[in-house]
Amino acid sequence: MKRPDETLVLEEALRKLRAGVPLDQVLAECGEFAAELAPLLEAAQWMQSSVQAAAPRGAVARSRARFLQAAEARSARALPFFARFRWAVNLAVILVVLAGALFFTGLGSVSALPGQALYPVKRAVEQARLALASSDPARRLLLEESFDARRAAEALRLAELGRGQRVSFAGFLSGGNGQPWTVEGLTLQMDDALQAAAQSLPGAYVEVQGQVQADGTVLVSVLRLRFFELKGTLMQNDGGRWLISGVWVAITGQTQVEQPLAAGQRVEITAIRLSQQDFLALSVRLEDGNGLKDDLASPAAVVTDDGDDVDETPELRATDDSGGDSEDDEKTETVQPGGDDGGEDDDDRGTPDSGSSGGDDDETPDSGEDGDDDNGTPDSGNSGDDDAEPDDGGGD
Amino acid sequence: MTLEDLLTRAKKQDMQSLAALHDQLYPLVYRYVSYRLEDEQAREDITSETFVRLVDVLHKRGQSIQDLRAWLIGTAAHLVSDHYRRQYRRPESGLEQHEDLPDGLHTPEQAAEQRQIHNEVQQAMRRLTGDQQHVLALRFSQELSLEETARLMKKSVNAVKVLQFRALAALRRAMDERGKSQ
Repeated sequence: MKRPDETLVLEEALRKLRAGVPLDQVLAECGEFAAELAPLLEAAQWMQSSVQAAAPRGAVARSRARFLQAAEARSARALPFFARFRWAVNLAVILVVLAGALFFTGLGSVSALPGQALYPVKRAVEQARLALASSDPARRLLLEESFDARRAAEALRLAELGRGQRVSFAGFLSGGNGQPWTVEGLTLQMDDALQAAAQSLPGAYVEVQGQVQADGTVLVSVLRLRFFELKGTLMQNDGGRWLISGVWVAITGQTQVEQPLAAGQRVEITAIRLSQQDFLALSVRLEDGNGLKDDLASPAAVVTDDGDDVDETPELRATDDSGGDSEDDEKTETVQPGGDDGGEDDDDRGTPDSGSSGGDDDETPDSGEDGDDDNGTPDSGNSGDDDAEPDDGGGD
Repeated sequence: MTLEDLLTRAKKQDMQSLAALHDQLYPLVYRYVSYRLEDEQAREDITSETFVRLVDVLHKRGQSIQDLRAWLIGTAAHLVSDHYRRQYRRPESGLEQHEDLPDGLHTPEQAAEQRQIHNEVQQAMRRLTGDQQHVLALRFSQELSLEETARLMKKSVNAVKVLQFRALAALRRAMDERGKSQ
């Protein structure tokens, strides 16, 4: 067993080393223990000099994004009861209407086309699904994309049937240079003003409103950039790209940013789609702020022919004030710092090897062989014995 | 804003406070983990996982954390132990990917030398028992006092003093053995 004096002198020497006292001087002040402590203090110096000042670049940002995503996912799951109830009521009403419609007409609404009786039901269900996804921007975007694709497929079907219906759909604009303008395979008929606007938008993801003609083309009345409204938490700022609740959005010098923003803030973004995967933010504002949104949504980019009607740019945003005050204090139980509780969780989640090992079993110094197991150390035997001692020897 | 304030607001799902809490405490956890693990990716993963575990606790009703720093280090220590257990069953060759490390104020030469020392210490640390590694990481990466270390390790101050003594002696032996074998 080690004499306590030694450990005391070592502790004092370490304190001096930390304070910047040179090793020689520290050893000189160790008296009779100097020779014994010299190798230990050298090792301590190596430990000190090996200190790694900072985490790798990017690691903090990646971890923060993961942390915030986990927190957001958790709080979405833990919505206050009444909030869930509110959605449940909405959903129940929709389902009742839908069930009634289906009862009389079968599953026809799924393939309903504009102008057909069940079409409004189909759209109502879509609106409900979007509203339910309001707390998850990535899911909401996926839904919007799939609904855009539906609108285009409907328009295409109407064009094949030559049925003159008013349609609204979105897709990437292609054509020009003598070729007909098309969106999602639909040929567009446009007057000169719209043609001129289209010249500035080739390849852009646009929204089209118009009338299907007997020849299968669409007579366009409105052609404009399709705007996406994105609400979420700013999780990572990677220079030219921001991660908003799981969705990456490009930020350029042209993007109007309301004010310097920090990770964790709730923001609203108006974005356009550059390609299948990429979005470009036009404006970013705090969720509660009055924004530049209106300026952008009555856009310079919009070109209308008959300007009269149906701005169907769906205002699909649903307010998401999940509040979160509900978790306040009930009876609290302290989670032990050493991770006893966390430790149990640890073992439950993703630590398959730990099995029954709870709290402090894994590295108990009291059992030399356990220590060896943990580290797989071929350590020179006496180290294991050493370890067995502290609690015996110095425990009290 | 104090850590306690941040924690209180974080429990109410204030995302900004959560982000600030994370950024403030990340270096603390990373430093501890980097003393105990060589593999850069594993360090990053375990540090990040420690914070994800924190989310779980923050969301659990009726639970509170008295000492957040200690809780984080304790959780990181458990994750490191789990990592070693897995690695013990599935040994991997040591990866040494340090190209992404920030160099801080050092010249390239100094940075290279520091990395060399860090690697040597890391290799030697692997030869210590879990508790020996834990005590050295706590005392040197966190600069915790004896009392704080004792509280965190659930040992007496005397036991920590003795453990620290033996850990340094074992580290020195391991460094010497490595020196001889090279």
